[in-house]
Amino acid sequence: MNNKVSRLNPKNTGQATTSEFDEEVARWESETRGPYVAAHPERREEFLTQALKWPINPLYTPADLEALGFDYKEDVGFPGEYPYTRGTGPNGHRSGFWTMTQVTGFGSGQSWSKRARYMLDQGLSGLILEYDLATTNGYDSDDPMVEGEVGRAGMALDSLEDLEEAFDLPFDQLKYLMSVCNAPQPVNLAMIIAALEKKGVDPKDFVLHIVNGILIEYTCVGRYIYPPEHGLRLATDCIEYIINNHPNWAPISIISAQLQPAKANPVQEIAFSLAIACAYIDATLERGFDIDTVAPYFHFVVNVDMDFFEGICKLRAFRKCWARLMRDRYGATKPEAMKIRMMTSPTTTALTLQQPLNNIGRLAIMATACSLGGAGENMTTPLHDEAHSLPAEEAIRVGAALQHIVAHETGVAETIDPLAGSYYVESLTKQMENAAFEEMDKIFDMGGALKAIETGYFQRALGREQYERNRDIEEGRRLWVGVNHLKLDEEKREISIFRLNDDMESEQVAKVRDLRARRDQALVDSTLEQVREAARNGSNMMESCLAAVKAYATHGEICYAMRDVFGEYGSDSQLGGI
Amino acid sequence: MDVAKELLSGTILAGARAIRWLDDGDPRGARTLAEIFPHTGNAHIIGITGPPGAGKSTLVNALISEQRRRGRRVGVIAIDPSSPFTGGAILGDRVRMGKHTLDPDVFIRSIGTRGQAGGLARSTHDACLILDAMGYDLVLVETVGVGQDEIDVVALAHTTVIVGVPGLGDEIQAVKAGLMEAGDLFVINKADRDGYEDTYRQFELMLHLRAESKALSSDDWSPPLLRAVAVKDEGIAEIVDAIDQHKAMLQNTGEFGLRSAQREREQALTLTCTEIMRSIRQSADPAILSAVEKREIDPYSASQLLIKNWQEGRGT
Amino acid sequence: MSNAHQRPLRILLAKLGMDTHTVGITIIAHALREAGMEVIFTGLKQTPEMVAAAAIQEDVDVVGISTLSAGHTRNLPKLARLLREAGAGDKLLLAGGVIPEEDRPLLEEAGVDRTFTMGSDTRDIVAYLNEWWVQQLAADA
Repeated sequence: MNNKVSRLNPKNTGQATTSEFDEEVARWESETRGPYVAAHPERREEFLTQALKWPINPLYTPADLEALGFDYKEDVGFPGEYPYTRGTGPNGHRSGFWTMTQVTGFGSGQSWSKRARYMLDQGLSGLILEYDLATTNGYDSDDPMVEGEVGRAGMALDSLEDLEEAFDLPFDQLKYLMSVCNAPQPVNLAMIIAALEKKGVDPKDFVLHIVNGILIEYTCVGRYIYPPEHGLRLATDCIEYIINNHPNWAPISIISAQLQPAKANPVQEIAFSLAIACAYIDATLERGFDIDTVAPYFHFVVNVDMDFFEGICKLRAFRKCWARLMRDRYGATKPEAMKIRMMTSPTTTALTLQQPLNNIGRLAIMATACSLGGAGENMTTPLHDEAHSLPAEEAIRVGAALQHIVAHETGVAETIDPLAGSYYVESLTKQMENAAFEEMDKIFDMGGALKAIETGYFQRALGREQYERNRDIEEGRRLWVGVNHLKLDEEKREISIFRLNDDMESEQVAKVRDLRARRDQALVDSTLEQVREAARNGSNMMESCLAAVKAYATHGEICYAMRDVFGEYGSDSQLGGI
Repeated sequence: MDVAKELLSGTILAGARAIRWLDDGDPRGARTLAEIFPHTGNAHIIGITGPPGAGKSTLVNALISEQRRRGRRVGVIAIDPSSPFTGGAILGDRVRMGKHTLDPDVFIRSIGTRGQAGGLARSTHDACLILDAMGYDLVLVETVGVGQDEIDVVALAHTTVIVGVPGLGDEIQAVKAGLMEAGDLFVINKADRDGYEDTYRQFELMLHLRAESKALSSDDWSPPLLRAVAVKDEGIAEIVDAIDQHKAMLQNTGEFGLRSAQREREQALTLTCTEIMRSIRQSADPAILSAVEKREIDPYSASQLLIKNWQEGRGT
Repeated sequence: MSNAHQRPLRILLAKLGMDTHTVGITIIAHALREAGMEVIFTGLKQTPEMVAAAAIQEDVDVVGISTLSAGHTRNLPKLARLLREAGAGDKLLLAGGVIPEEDRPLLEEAGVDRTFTMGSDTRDIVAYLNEWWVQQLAADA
């Protein structure tokens, strides 16, 4: 465990080896390319990858791979085998495509249910449930802190009653639900379990996937309540509870796709995501599990940006780094523990508000990169007019069609990992892997991801990237069509944001107040005391949270009971860069 | 708005404006200060200093809470560095004090160093006087993260709290060299971290050495070494107790008034020096300076000439 | 120290409500510092009451609010009103983020001086502030 992970790869010695190619490349440079470039100067002073800003050579040859100590068996191997660079499955997309998914969630429990039904009618069997900012920050709808926020960014969830309404769904069709409610995760998990029980759903016949991603919230998203150590403990409680009680469910996702919009470069994305995964893994192992049991539960969501090769290589390096980390740091032995589970997506941050139809082109390119990078088990595509409005029907249709175009029309999925062996792709993949392990060592040396969050290390690193990358655009080092290149001066931009009628908020407020008036208050009080007691004594929070939600204690009340014990974390975690 | 009158009656808008004038070097600031100066000298000025990353803002936040529990009105001056290149600054200390924003008896002001070395801003002293005149019982002055020479806060404050933290090996050395001799109170924050024991022993040793040294030891006060986990409110009441004891000692020995008096005397001299320097720079004969550049005259002789010219220039 | 005795513009940057997207506000904070301004940060999850109180304590010239959730039609007018009521209505009030064109009249009516939409060039924001500040300094002199 204490060995530096970056040193564990015997090939990573940094020593270049000579090659017959060096001479040949030098000859080509002086005889052929040199004179040409003298006559035709290059169009830029330097060619760099978009996010990492690594220099890109005019040409890659076997000499580059040799210099990196590249070894086919060690670095690439075969599909479905360690180190899984060529994919975790043995047959790429030849037996079946990745699963194509989309997102939903807004309004009250009832309106979510209506929309979910619509989507199930379209033949979907899986849904993603997102909540409003009141809920994800641990407040009830009538809390003065959240005036104006209720039901806006997702569903308002105050009590078990709201979920009972939301789950008025055909559960014979709904087989998978992803729930995104990180900071109050045990409360949310308990509410879903209680609601499923009420609906008589067999938990074995259904997959609940909780994102449970509090550490990335502290790093860059901001929806946290308690200090990080308690956040990690609550996440670990949920992982432990699910492994023990619902082993077919999914207890955690590391949403690397939230680090990317916060301008993590691919190396930071891999290193931060995996270091964060290690924090959860270490905490879970302390509860007495072994790595071969725990590792297969970890799931990642990774998106790609517009730099085609950075995106593809990131996905390949991600798989390889996870496998190496599980094998070398934790001594995992089962293949399942070393195969990363991944969902991929084109990033919304590549899309522009200007000239929105251009975004369809961008999405197609990024979806192709996802596919060439291995796609993962699922791919989800954002919509080209997302910056303008809530998904219009046409945008939804185009988004779905995009994935089918990539899958059926381009031929990129007909052979496994078609870019393997490309001198450039393998060089970049290996460089990313090496740099990611160096970065991880730095994080482990400072005490791991929790410490990196508490000291603001992650946040400062992202703050620098954000500022630098924005300057690249403003100063024209990176051209972005519609933003700083081929601009339309007279373009009228209409942004419409989704509006709920204000009645929705007052109805939700009235509803939660009405519930408090008619429930068994003594029972609520005693279960909330159980929550505080569990928070204090360190036992798994799930039992007391289940008791509280079943007594119709509200989401906010349970969150406040934990605030009483854990305290509240300053409102600035992800501003460490300031 | 009569700013002086309003701020004496505690109006926040007026106090905030007076500090702005003084910070900007606006002449209205000096005029206001002249009016309110007779009403100052009551507030207990407490400096909070230590290396970057020691958690000073979080500690200040916790100290505000404890002082409020004791019913005192609290002023805070939080200093962050200005960019030496652009003069701009990002002042983020109050982020960690957010829960006190709506407390009418807490006034938090962020100030940039604006080119001043030493861990304080040029206007810190003036801002303390304004808060003092507004009737705040105490003023917490949080310095920028300092090394060994940046201890101007010691001359400003009645009580100086030095904050250390486990695991900053080199920083401790810096603390040893400069701050150890100056602090009235030592706090090891983040005491739940690895390395606390080592840091505690290091501090203890240094305090022991200080007590041995005749020049630094005092019969009236031996600086306590306290532990705190500011983010969890641990050890905070003990720190405020120690601050109170220090203040009582200063009052009993007459040192409290003495320190204030010394501070104002020093401030008068500092302002004089600054003004004379400015005046000399402004009036310096470019011909003499250019002669130095060409090595026709040495800097010592040039300075004698410049001073002579300046004095004569003022005479005429 | 060329700027030591000049009068830099002081601006308070804050986020209202539970929305915690910080990339935009972080970039702007850095750009304003690079432009020689003093940027005071209040943190996230602020209420209009908290922003108004901080703006007054800090005696800033400008209050800049970033908003990406949809609460701006409520909380921005409230902030403008609180500042006016506290005698600080002279501060320039700016809003940025996702603000639809059709909401602008309402916000301007309520006292928001200027809105910058998502994706605004930081140099445009700096130029706007510099111009405003030069006018202020001239009016004061």
